[in-house]
Amino acid sequence: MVRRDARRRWAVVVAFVAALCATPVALAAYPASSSGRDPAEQIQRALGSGTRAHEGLIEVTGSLGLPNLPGLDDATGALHGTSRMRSWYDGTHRWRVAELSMTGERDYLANADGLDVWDYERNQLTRIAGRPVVRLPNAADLTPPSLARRLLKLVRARDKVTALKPRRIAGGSADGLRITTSDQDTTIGAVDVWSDPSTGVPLEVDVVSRGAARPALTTRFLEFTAKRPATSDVAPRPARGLMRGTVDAPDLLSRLVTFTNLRLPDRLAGREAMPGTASVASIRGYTGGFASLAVAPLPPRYGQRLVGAAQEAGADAVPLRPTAGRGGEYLMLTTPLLNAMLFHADVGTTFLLVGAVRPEVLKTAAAELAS
Amino acid sequence: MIATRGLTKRYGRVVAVRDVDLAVGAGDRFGLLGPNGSGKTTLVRMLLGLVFATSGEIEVMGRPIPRRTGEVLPRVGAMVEGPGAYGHLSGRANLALLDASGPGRGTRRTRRRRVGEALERVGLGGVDDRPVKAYSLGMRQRLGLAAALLHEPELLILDEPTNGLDPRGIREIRDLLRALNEDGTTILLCSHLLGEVEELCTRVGVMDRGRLVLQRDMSDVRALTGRVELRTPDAARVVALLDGRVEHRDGDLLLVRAADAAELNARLVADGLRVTEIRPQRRTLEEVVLSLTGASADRFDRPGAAADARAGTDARADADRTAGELT
Amino acid sequence: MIRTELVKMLRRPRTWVSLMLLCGLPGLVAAFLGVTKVAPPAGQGPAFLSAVLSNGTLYPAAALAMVLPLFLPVSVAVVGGDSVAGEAGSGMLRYLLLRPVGRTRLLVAKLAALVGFVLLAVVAVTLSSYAIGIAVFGAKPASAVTGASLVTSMSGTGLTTPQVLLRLACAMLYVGVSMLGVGAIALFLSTVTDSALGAALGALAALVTSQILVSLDAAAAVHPYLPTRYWLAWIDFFRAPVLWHDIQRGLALQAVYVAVFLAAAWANFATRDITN
Repeated sequence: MVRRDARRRWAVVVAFVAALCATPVALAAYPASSSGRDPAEQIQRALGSGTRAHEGLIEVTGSLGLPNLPGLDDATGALHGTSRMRSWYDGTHRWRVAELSMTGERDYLANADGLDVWDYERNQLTRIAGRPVVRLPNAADLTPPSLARRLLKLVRARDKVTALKPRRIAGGSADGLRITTSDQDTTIGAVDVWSDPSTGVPLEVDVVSRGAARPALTTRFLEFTAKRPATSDVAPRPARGLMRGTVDAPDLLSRLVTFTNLRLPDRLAGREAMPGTASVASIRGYTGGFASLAVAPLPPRYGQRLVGAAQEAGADAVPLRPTAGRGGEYLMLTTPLLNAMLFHADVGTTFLLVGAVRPEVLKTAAAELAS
Repeated sequence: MIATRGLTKRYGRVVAVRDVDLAVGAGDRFGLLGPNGSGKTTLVRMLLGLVFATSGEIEVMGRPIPRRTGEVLPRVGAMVEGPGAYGHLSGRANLALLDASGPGRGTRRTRRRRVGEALERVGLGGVDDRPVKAYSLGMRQRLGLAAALLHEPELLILDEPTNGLDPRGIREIRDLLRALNEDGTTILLCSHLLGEVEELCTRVGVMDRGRLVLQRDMSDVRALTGRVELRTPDAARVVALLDGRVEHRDGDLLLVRAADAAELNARLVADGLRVTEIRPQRRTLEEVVLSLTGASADRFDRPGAAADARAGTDARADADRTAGELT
Repeated sequence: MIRTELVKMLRRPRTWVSLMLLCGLPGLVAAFLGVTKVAPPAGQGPAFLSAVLSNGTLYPAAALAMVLPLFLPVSVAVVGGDSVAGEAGSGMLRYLLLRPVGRTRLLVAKLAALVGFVLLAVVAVTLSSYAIGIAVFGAKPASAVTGASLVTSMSGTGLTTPQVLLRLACAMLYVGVSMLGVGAIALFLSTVTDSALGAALGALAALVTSQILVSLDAAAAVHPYLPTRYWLAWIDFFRAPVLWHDIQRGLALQAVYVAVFLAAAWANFATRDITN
């Protein structure tokens, strides 16, 4: 009699646990509805969504194990592991992105005058005067809308665009599309973009490297509200008495511009230099759709430090000897998505070449730089 | 008061209690005897709803256990396998906490008084505020009894209540129980001490290896054997006179087959024989119990030794052991 | 019954010893920091610790961060593990049940006493570390500039004293709630075994497993179900605006853990043979 009673009680408990465990699964399985827009229209709306105000919580998951390179940590940190950001967006020059960490937070606050960066751990509010022509990417570039617009601008007519089944993101349905790259030079295999049907704001971006099944980089809204954020959120008043500083160059890359005066070629590995960087001749992006790359000459001592860090991370120095002209020595840092090359030319200059391209493309570019 | 039918409890493959039909009437002083490990404690725990029976039925005060345990227990006082207490609190605080835990008989204002009365009854009325961990074994035992008496129970179930008490303490507790019984409290006493049960109980049950092998009134158990024990300085002449009716002689001690001691005495005196002592022989509880029960469950003999014991002096060995437990 | 369990908990010497230990750790850290003035580098060590050197008002937050990973869960696991098994050990369990106290009632009362202990612990840590913080580090604004804000939130906005105190109180309560999952596991194990130590160790084993899995990216799929997943979400009270996402999930998750393990404890305990 008691045995039966015990069994009945345990059955109640098991049913309770099963119901609890099934709830998230059932919620996830709730079907998403499609707005019926075709991929081309979705791309247009996503590219035009820069004026749409919204706010939300973002999770970025990356599996690009780049080694710790001095001066570049802030740019590469978010690319490995899981990190979170909060975003309040009210137009291209009025937004705030807060990069969250367990012990603090770093806020990027854009306003009409430029960009403020608040770092809780350093207890410092830094104003970046003006808009630097070149800069390293930061957390604010990894929000789904920002990354999606950047990537969608690279789509060429040859790339295949297909519609994906709608999916639920941040509690609502989202339209999906997939861009499959056709250029064999890029390491990017496909880019998936899901966007909010009513505003066109991209809600999730998955970047899949060539030949891989799972995305190497995912950025997605966990919470999303398509409303104008409150002023106190998007432009909070800083505490009185904070340590403030002003800099012209927010990061290493923008500082390098002022330290080197080497002129890079207008054309490299078959790619044109980007017009946007025409005023800065020493650091250039070379556009080729998804297979674009960037080149920067490094000051000698910093170049040595980077080479040292790369060698510690396990990269080997390999001589590059083209059949014609002068060569040099290079170290290759490879990840599933991004490849970086440190190239020390025989003439004495060290170059950093980065791009979502095959190592061979970087080698071609290096050989051209050497001569 | 208590009735069980076919009560059985299995722990895995071990059967602790097998098919017990126990009946304790209202007003009884029931003694449950049995060697260690014979299932007494398991039986008591089942009566109180602490352990759940594998099969069988239990009724206490006319209510089924364990289904209606909550109605029965407020009217039952119990001490099971030694007293329990929080060592860092005083005895008084322990009782007060226990009193506050359950359904109230009276308010918090009467709690002080009730606790005081219960302590008084068991002889701890003047105890100070030292923590229970500083109590002696006997004091703890008395505290456990006080806890059982806290709510003037109609049924008192006590498992080995005189553990750790000195002879005077045992006597006090026995008097207390007798007084309670006279006021109408039914008492179920579990013990492996024959003397304790023999002194106190009006009814006796004997358990052996999970079975209830005997359940009878004490007066029936201690029935006359039809023999008379006789001590006389003239033993040889008595044997000659009673020729054939003397069953056993040990010096001046004789065992005579006779229905009536008075008649035997008259006859001996008439023949001018001196009688130092004469009394009708009764069976002792010890003999009854030993004849009914096997070896203690806590004794493990080698197979050969056990066979020897069984062949020869099984009962004697058991008697020696029981005597040892009696002290 | 709940009252008596609370009284019992308060009258235990062990309760006060563990509270003293819990409050002692922040005191010790404060003493070292106050003497040496060497703060851990930013981004390392417990949250907020680098900020307290200039202003002691936030020291309770740093103290919570110190006791949260180990001290607090250990003491909760010990109290939870002791709840039923400890009664069995002292021999009082059978007398409580004979009193009679319903088995379900006993479990609920034990849980209530556990909640009482957790509340007592977090309040004691918060109050003592607030006093220590003000005494050792002072309550002057972070910078000497006139009109500077008292405390800077993680987002760089200023917080007034009432705002700081409100957020500290919320963080304190959230940390308390975070402990309930571990407590419920310990309570359940306490009904399974008669060894209080075994139950406490079992709950700690569950805790350590959860913490290891939380730090393992490969186990991301089960992260939302782990009891320690949202433990650090109390830090989100100090952001501007408060980030509720993880806090809500943390509260819901602890509620689920308490419900599940209380139900399991009920199913196990209500039909269990009490042989101790």
